[in-house]
Amino acid sequence: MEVREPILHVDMDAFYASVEVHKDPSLRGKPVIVGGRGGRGVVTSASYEAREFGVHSAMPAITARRLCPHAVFLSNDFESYQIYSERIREVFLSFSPLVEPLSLDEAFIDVSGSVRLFGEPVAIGAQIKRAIAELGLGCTVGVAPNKFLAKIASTRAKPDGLLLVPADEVEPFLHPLSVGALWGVGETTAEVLRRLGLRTVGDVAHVSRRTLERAVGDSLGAHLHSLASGLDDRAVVPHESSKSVGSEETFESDLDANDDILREILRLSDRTAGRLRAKGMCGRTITLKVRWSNFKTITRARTLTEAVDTAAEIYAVARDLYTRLGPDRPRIRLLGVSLSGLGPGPPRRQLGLLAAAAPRWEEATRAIDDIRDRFGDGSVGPATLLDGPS
Amino acid sequence: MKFRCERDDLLEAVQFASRAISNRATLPVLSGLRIEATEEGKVRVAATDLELTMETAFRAGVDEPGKAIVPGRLFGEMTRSLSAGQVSLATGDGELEIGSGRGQFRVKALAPDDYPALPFEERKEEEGSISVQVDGSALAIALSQAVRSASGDESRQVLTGVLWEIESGNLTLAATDSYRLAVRTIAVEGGTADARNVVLPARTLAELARALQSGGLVRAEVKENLIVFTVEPPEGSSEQLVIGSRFIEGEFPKYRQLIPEGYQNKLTVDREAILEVVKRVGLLAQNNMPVKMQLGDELEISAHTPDVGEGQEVIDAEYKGEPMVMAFNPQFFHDGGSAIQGERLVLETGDGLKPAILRAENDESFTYLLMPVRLS
Repeated sequence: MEVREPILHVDMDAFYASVEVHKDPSLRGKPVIVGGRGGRGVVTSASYEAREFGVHSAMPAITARRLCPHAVFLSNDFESYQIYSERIREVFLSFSPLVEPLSLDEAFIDVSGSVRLFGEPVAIGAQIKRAIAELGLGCTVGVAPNKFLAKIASTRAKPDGLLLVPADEVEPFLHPLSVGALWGVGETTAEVLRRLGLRTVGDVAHVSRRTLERAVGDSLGAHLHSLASGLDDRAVVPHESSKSVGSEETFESDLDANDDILREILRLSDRTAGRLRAKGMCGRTITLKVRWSNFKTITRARTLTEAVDTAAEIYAVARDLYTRLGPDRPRIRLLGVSLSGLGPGPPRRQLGLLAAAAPRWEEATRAIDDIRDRFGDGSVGPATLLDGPS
Repeated sequence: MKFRCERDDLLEAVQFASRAISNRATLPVLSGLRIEATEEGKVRVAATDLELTMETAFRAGVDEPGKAIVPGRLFGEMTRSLSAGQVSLATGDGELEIGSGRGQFRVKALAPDDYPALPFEERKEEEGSISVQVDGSALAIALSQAVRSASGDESRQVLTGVLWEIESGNLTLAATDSYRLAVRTIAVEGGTADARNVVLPARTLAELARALQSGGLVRAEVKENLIVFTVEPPEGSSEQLVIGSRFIEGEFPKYRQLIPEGYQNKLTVDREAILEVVKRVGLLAQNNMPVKMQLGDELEISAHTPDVGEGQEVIDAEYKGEPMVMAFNPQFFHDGGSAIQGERLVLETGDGLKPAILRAENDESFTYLLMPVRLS
């Protein structure tokens, strides 16, 4: 039996705020704003009661306070969100093994193999909604022939909705939407399309592919052309959590000076730490990879008792691993620094009794991340890297 | 050297002394046991790794006083395998002859001249040494409370040791691995008014605790660069045990100033109940995840490890203070809670970033300070 609309997109409604309400039922019915505690925070989630006042996520907390001063403001409790997210994922997995989480509160599910057991995709969507309601949370489900349409469907049906886009009714659903609904169309592309007189998805679908390609470039043009016709052949890829995070670099000319080598190890440590934090993870095992000029490659690893996620901590270990190699006349072609033994970050820290004077790398590192978010990766970094080869 | 003795006496002595033989002996001769038969009809058995020295003695029929160094491990196994009853030992021609029943064995001896002098061979009282006496069973408990908080990390040697501090009739034992601190005070007899403190290897004190299993009386003498423990066993049982040890160099952290005073939050709870729950919930705190404790009139203990599982359990408690959440390494918490004596455990806290204090209710003699895990 062919399933014509096998893809579900499930998006939790006001996830963090709903978790907070579930944890503390006295908040039910009140405007709840998460992430807005402290003057400079950003709203990460707002309950629908708060949204009525114009509060939405990614809004500066200060604005949210002005719009909705009587709301309950809470700080993020990622540990709880993670726990609830796992429970939600278990619900999804009870209907199909093909689950691709996009974040803590959103996932694609391919149910083509599940209809015999659980019924039509829409029926599965309804069962998922019920199971999630039993956890005390709400969600919206889009059901469609592919990922692109399923995601649009759930966006359109929020909150607490269930929307099917039947395979033979894609055009009436899709074509009236504005071009911004197309995946890959940001403000710049929307402006280009608008200048061509293309305002809706239908407009885009009706111009020739060549015209689109000339306007926005070959690959984006071809991509938009397919999407506007409701075509998207991306598969649902079950998520496997990455086992390691790292970065490595092959040098144009071999490194032979100790200072240069250590500086590159620092650069790689910094980059690896940044990637790790961007993924919201931390790791316990640090691996240094060295390829000598004769292509002989060695790796050295050390596992720490506690997970880390800062450049300084990673560098300290990577440098020591390198120093212990004790190369006589090093000629290095490639260096790599990676972390494995990953867990959700930031690391919980066993505080020390005697270490009051130790440098507070964590605080400094969070500040660095904030600056890089605003001004770019090159805006701040270890001073040693300032005059290094780039 | 030539003597006759009971196998059981020999075995007991050999097993005791052999514990000082290091698996990683720096000199080959240190893998040996030193056996000495004295004119007074005693046989002394000793071993050392230069840091720790252990010796005991037993009565024997000594025909010819003298001494020998025998390979420790082989001699130990031989002694254990001999049948009970009389054993004869004699040296001759660089060998040790062992006779037992109808068996005759010869074992190559090690060169006696290579063996280092035992540090406490000169038994006279040294000037400036401080000697105290304490009941063995009480000291054994105190040791078990303190020693396990010592660090296993050799990079800060002084923390692998235990502070032994004598001050006006009190002995204080303190150990810390920088995450927790155990401090135990016990009354002793003797000593001087002047404070004296030294840092002893945790291994030494673990051996001492072992030697105290059957109680007795301990005399501890701090000399210039050495401490010597003499354990007088309870009457009628075996002979005196002597353990000597070098100090660990370096300054032990000023532990008194680490212990906070005047905490406002105080939780009192059944000790066994909380330990059981920490152990059970702690199974779901893997990969260095902490257990969380929500302090209030009920104590909720929870843990969560992504991709492993989660758990929580509530126990009754008496609580004075602000409701608060703290997180701890479950093993560290359990170590502290099980070191405490008494039915009820008192947990005092400041905020989530300050050390928590674990004690038994109405008992200040043992304090366990534990740093929390900072929640993200």
